[in-house]
Amino acid sequence: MISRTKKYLGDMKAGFAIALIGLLMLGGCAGVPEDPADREAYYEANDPIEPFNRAVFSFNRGLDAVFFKPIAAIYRDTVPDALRDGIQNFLNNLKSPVILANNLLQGDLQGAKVTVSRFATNTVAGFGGFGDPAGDLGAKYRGEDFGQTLAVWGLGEGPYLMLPIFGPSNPRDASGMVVASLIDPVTMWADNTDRNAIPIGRIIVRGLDERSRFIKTLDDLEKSSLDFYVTIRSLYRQLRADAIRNGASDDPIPTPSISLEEDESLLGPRAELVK
Amino acid sequence: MSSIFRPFLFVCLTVFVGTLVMQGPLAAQNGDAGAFVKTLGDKAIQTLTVKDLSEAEREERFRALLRDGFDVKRIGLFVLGRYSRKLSPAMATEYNALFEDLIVATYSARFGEYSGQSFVIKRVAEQPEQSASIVMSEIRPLDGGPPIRVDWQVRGAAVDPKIVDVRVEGVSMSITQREEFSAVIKQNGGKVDSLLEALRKKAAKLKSK
Repeated sequence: MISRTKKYLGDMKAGFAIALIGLLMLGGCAGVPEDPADREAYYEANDPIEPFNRAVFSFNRGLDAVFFKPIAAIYRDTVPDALRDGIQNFLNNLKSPVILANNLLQGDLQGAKVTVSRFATNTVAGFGGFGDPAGDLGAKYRGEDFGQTLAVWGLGEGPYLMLPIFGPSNPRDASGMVVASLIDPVTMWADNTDRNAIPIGRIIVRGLDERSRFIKTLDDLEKSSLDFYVTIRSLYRQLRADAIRNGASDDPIPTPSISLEEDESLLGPRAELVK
Repeated sequence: MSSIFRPFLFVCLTVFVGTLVMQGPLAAQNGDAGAFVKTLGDKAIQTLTVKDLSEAEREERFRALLRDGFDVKRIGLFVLGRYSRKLSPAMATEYNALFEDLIVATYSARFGEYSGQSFVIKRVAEQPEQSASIVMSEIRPLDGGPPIRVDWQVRGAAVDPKIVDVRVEGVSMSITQREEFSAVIKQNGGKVDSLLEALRKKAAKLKSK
């Protein structure tokens, strides 16, 4: 009975994967528009399975409206700021091993040094990571994940992908997320000792904490945007690109062509694909 | 632990910010673009964050600063991409007005939420091949929380400097707006009219609240 259920679930997974691949291919075959202006918009969007992504996005927003956002608002309004900061620091500190692995995989020794000294300082002087004395001294927290590492190794992001519950992503970042969950020492330890509630609880608290910090920002964004789906898509890509370049850089990126002569100034970042 | 550090840090920060503010001419040495952005930012904080300023009055003041410091027409053109070639002169006039209104409605209210943050220019990067000077700045909250990174792309720094893009934490306002506008047009069969309609609706909605 159990094995049959397992087999059935396995079939379902395979079926889902095939359906998803089919959908991706269908989307890919939908065809590039003829009109040069449409074509430029198409390439800049880089979103061949947009109808599917939009459906997932509405599902996520529905869930957010009735569930995540109200709970996050209660969390924000009832838990004192100091405690929320403490929880955020604790979760950040717990991520140190994964961040360190990514620092090293990216060949970023300076970053690795910061991660190690932050972990040591905050675990000891920050009472197990609840405080962030290292950050107060100038060694600020900077997250790294496998999606970023793959990007540093030269892998492209691929088409936009909206994941249920987890939100905006792409094939590169989604695979990075899977790898991270497989090698995270806290998750591994919990798995081996049958404490599955710990990694799940950690994901929930992390999500709650992050959502509670973006309530106002997201509300404001939605108010001013013409198409919220596109706003989020654009923001996700740009924020990821910024994270991959590790934020503040000595060599800032200009917005292409906007400063050039009138005729060229309307050509965008993917102009070469449209000609 | 952090509570022991805080007062000490606060003093350090105050001294640090203080020295930066006192070295006004420093910005000028970094090139004209830095001084230009600094002046504009300080003026914005001075005139837009006055207590008891009515929303309408704030919008008017913001609009004046926007016209003074930004090349709104150029940004509007970039944001439309190749679709701008489909604009008739009459449509272009309406589009420019609607686009300016959208910027004013979106950003002017933010100055009403001002709570004493300081605006600091960090440095200027010249990018001659893009005829751009990028002014890197930080907006620092009073409580010593994490600063917000803001990069200003300035065109024509030597003669008549105008801002053409603003990046907040790496997110370009012009690129975000461009993707949004072109999505609206593309979804409506490539008709630029549809964008003007959407902008009119948005303007009405933002006004009514």
